[in-house]
Amino acid sequence: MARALLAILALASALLIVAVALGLERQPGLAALVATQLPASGVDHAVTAVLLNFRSLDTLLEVGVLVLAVLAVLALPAGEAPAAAREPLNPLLAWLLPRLLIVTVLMAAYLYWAGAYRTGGAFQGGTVLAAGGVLLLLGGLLRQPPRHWLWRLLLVLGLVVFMGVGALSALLGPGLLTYPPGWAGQLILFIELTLTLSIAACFVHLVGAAYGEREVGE
Amino acid sequence: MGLLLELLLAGLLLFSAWAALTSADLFRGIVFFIVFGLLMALAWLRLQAPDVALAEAAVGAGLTGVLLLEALGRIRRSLKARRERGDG
Repeated sequence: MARALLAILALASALLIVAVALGLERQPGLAALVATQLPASGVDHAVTAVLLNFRSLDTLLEVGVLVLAVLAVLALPAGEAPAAAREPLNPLLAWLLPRLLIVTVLMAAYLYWAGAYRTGGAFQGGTVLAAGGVLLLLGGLLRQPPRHWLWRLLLVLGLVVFMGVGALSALLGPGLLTYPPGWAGQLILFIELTLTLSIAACFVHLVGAAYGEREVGE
Repeated sequence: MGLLLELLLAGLLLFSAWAALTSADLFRGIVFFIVFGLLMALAWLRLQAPDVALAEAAVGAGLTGVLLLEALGRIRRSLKARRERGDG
């Protein structure tokens, strides 16, 4: 009974939202403003400029949230190192894995670099690289996230670099996360590089921690 | 033709969302969730937001889907272990 009521309520809300949305006039938004400021932003793509320059604080906070999630996972007790592979690797997977990994790394690098000119950027490249990491997990080549301190450094590297640039620009320069003129392009690329690696490491850690717990409690 | 495609996409989105939420079998629900994520990525493409579409496909369909499947596996394993121990 309650479920039916909730269903009707949800449906009514959805229809209401649709009706209101269809009735709205098309607003120009900030696209024109972004287009005029694009040459000064250091990149040639509007989305990347907004993400990494005009609204870079939001991106910083997003990465902060991701690192927080990984910290929460790190705080959980780690399972013991899983035993060796129980069954031999699927031959199709064994053939496909190295080739897919090469393509994945190439695509991630291209997406990262292309973010300055077209669709792409740190998040897109980072998630593709994370997909490569998940492939490693699925293939059994990586049993759980590495416990090496370098891995931990990689997890926070993007956030630290981003915050470092923000702090430096706040202390020495024009203001928080305001890139010095002429340096915007290089700074964005540098931040995006560390972000790509960090985002990939964070996602692989989140997925891999679940894999690594496989042996606990069995 | 474009309108027909978009209406079909919207209908599939709604259907996969409903199926993901109301499946009795959890595995089926997760599969529909992944399908919903991929269809959502298509929807973002139709809305001319390719960056969002890439992120949605990777995170919504890929990573969250894998996490949910792993969680389902753990639930099933712990239920099986509890049954074997006799706790029920």
